[in-house]
Amino acid sequence: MLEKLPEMSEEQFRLLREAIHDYCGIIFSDDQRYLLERRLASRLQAHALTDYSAYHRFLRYDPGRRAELEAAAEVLTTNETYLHREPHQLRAFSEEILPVLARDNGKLRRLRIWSAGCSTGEEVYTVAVLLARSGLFEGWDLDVFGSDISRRVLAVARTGCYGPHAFRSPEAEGLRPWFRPEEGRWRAGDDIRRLVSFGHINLLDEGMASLVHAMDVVFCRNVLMYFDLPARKRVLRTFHDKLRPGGFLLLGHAESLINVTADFELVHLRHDLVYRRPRPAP
Amino acid sequence: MSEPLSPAAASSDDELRYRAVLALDGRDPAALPGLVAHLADPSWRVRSAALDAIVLADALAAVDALVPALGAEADPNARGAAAEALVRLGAAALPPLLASLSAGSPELRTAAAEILGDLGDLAAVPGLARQLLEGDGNGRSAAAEALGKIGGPAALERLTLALDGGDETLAAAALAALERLRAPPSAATLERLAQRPALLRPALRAAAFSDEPRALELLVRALESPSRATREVALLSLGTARLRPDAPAAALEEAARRAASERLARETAAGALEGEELGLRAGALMLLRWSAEARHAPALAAAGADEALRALAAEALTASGSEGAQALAGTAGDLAPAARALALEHLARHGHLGAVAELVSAATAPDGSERSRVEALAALGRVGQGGAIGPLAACLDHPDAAVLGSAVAALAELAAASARSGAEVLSAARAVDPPAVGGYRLVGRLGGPEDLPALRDGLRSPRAGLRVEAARALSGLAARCAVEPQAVTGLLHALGDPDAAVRASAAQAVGVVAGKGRGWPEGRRALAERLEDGEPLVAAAAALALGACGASEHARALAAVAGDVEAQAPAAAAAVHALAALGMAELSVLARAARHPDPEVVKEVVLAAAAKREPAATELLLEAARHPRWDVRRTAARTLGARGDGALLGPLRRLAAAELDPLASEALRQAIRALEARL
Repeated sequence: MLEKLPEMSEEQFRLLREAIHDYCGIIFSDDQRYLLERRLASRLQAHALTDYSAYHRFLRYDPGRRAELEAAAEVLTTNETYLHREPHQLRAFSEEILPVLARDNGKLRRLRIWSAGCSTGEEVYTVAVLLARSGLFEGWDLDVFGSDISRRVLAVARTGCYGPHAFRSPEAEGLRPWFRPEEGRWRAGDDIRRLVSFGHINLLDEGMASLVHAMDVVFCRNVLMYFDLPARKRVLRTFHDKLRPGGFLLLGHAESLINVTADFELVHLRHDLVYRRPRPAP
Repeated sequence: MSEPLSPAAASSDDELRYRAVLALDGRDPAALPGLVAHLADPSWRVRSAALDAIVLADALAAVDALVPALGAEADPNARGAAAEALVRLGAAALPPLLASLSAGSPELRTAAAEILGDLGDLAAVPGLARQLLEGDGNGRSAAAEALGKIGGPAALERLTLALDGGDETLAAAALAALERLRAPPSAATLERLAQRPALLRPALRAAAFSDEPRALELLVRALESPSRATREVALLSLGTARLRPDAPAAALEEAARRAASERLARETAAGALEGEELGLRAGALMLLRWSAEARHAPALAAAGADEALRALAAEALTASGSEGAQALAGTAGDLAPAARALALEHLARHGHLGAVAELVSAATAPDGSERSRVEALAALGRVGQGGAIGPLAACLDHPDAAVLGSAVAALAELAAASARSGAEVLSAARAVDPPAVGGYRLVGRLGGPEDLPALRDGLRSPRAGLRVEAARALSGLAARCAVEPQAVTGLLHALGDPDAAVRASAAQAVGVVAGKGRGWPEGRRALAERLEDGEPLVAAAAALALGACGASEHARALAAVAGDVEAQAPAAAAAVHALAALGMAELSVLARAARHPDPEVVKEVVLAAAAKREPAATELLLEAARHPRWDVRRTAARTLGARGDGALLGPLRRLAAAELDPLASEALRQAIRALEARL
């Protein structure tokens, strides 16, 4: 039952790590060699390469290197996720942030939410259900926009179809009425699917990000940790520009902006701490 | 010049204070006192903005203003922000911090030691080493921690000495620092320290990085301790040791086997499977593998969802046998995809109907992630059941290259299991109709001369991808079987294919056929012509092929490419490699190639020069050991150590003293040790 993976030497790890970082700013720490070794094994097999030195040469010299770097970044950063992840924050979003937005945007009756780095879309559908379930936005123009660097995960996200494991969080049971069973899996209902949209965006590519509308909330949970400091600052500058004044930024529970940027203010909610783009001083 | 702080700076409104600080220019000396004052602001945004401005100030003036803010009387917010600013100011902060180590208040000394650790400058080691002896309790511990962050031989020596005094707090800090540096003291020292209750757990943690058998003994004994906390630390260390890339796997497994005979250790492991720390879960899997209790099988499979633990979980699950499969039945659907593949594989091995079908379904699910499909395919390969061949063969023309590649790898693994399954896999690969990339890959690995006609047809396929794979498969066949050049003249046509990837794979195949004692001058000439191919990867493949087939008559053409600093890097690197393979790499050519801007070329030069004994080759290697790229320096250091020349010790020691890159530094130390051992 033992797996036979090609071994990655420390030198090969460093060279591949540098190549990925040069391409997209993502960093891997010294103790993540196993991650590159495991996940890039399928890329070796895809190109019928025998070892990681050959793969490094491929990434440096092959005419298809850019597409391969994209594929490598994709397999290295795509993580399996699930519905209603980090319930404390989602409770703060539902019970404290949404009422504020319902009041602030009441005249416009429009709400835009961006799930940046949405992977296979579980967060996007979770947020869409929370909007629908709140009852605060009947007849509003709503859009929950999910973006990711990987076209492949976006293709999965667009299906809105998940296996039982996606519902493993106890709170996810509350989302189930908005999904319908389909051959052992659960597909988001049409009333939820019409609230969501997806797009391919590299967060470090300002040109791509310029296509995103002004947003009321940005979810970017457990994504910034993949970037080094300069890349994090660039991404946060993009979020700042895209958020309306007073708009909220929700990061992963282990992530903070301390020593990264002072562009956002920290807001102490009852159920969580979140960031907000400050409103202009009166 | 920016305005001094406005009245808004004293406002009770965070936003107004923030904007007032933003209005200040850190480069303005007049702004500095106000900015430093705002390091004590209750709002972190304001402190952060002040900090960002301060690091733009004149470094010396900023450092002078910040160091007093580290004292005991300073506001805690200000202390933290000043420390952060000093770290960001870097080298300029060193002298006043070092001075504070010997002259400041106890609080200032402690803070200075902490910042020096974060600065990570070797110049701080002597001062911190003194602080280990002279400071108060907090200062000594902070110095130990700082030395653990800086590292280096002098820091290691001082930390090791600090273990021997009567100060247990300092000894615990020194042990933690050595653990951080992954440089534990001797096992004998660890055993001695572990006798003292206050040092038992730090000693056990440090033992995770020891390679001495006695350190493992210490862990095994600790796993029998009546104290649950002690057992957990020992389990954590055992797991941490196992996750090290250079882990002594056999010795660790033996230690786990012995520990698993103790009931308390097994209970601790069972409880630790859902722990937070990775090392703890790894240790638990190691022990549970040997206890082989079927009831744990679902938890073992679930632990496999973490990629760092996948192999350990697979081993433990295998050990749980058919009873484990029994316990797993019906639970796979609740597991994360990767863990589910592990569980289904175990079920399939133990004859549970439907598990293979579920794996096939996971492998081919159109909405599954690439990783979950690849995991399922690999599991199908390992299951080793003939029933998996058909579904895997159906993936041999899959449009996703990763899925296709994984199916090929899985089928190759199945083929290796027995002659019968090898024949079945080959038959399935040959039967792929219309021909497909995956089919050719398997035929190249497993086929024989009877496959030549099909592969020759493949060279004429309208699909470039198939022509590439047909040429690759011919390489594979020629490497294993007798293939006469006249049987594969289509390869010469393929060398002129409009698709560069086809030309490159054809060049490799021509090299293999020509290299098996059949000469084939026509093939060699065709390869030499490809050295001028406009696509660098084709020229590189041609160069490597010429080297591999011993085409010494084309060494001059290879030397022209190798010595051209403007040649495309892959071609130049391959030409150097080929010349070395031919034993015809002249030093004058290597010296020119060493000036190539691409480090991959220079590394090939280093490897080629290593085979030469002339003093000029040694000089070339020493020059490469000073290259701007760490990987070139590392390669050069390794080759210098292998030369056995005592005269190199001095230069290598000087290089080692100045080397900052950990891998290059390690190679230099190994080279020095190798030379010292010879002398």
